[in-house]
Amino acid sequence: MPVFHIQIAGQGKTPDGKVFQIPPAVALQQRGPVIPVAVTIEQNMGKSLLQQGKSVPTKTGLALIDTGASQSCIDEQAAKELGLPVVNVGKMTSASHEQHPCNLYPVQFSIPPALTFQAPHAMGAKLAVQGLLAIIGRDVLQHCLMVYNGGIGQITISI
Amino acid sequence: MTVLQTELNFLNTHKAELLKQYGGKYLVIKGEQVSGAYDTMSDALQASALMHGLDDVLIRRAEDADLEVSVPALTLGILHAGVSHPDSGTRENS
Repeated sequence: MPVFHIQIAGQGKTPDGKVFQIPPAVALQQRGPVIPVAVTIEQNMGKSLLQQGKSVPTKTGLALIDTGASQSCIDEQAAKELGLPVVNVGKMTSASHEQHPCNLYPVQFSIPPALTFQAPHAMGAKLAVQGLLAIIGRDVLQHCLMVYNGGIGQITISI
Repeated sequence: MTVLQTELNFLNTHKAELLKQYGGKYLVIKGEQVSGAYDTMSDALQASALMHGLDDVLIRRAEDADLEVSVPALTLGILHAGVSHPDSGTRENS
């Protein structure tokens, strides 16, 4: 059973510029469960492209695990740079805002060393400004066991 | 005009006949044409890449409504809100 395990780390600076380590539990509480991820095109599309001799680029970055998100998201600019096609249009909803259309991309998330998830309807959103490449939502989490160990600042995910 | 507007208009205009012809299959729609109908989303994605490469295409069952996506962290603007350290210093994550 493939397992991903991480202890969240963080550094801070005092007003006079000294760097200090933030305890893992505090880093996890402040930053949230942020993990390294590689993003590429959904595996079935990727297979077809490889059969045609086309390249299948990958981007790496950080993903926030968000149990509040119904769908996973990918940074819109990263999706364009990867050449991902729009394969559907969704409606982004909230209690306080009007619905508005959003592009849906076929994405594969890889979490080192051995976890791979398909998200055929990942929503495009401006995430890079937040330092994120992706948000991992419940469409992916429905396939996972996840342990959020806040006391020691650790996250464990397995399929 | 938003991405896939032509395809969405086509699907909505011809929904009844597409349902009758293809039932609950996943349709690959490019422009105002159905390129193929498949039993699974995975098959439709694979076929779409073979036929259309990385072009934008609508892949959806005729019976499906727009997928509703809820990401409160984005819609409420709460992502990264209030991340300052108690010491008021800046923070760098690894």
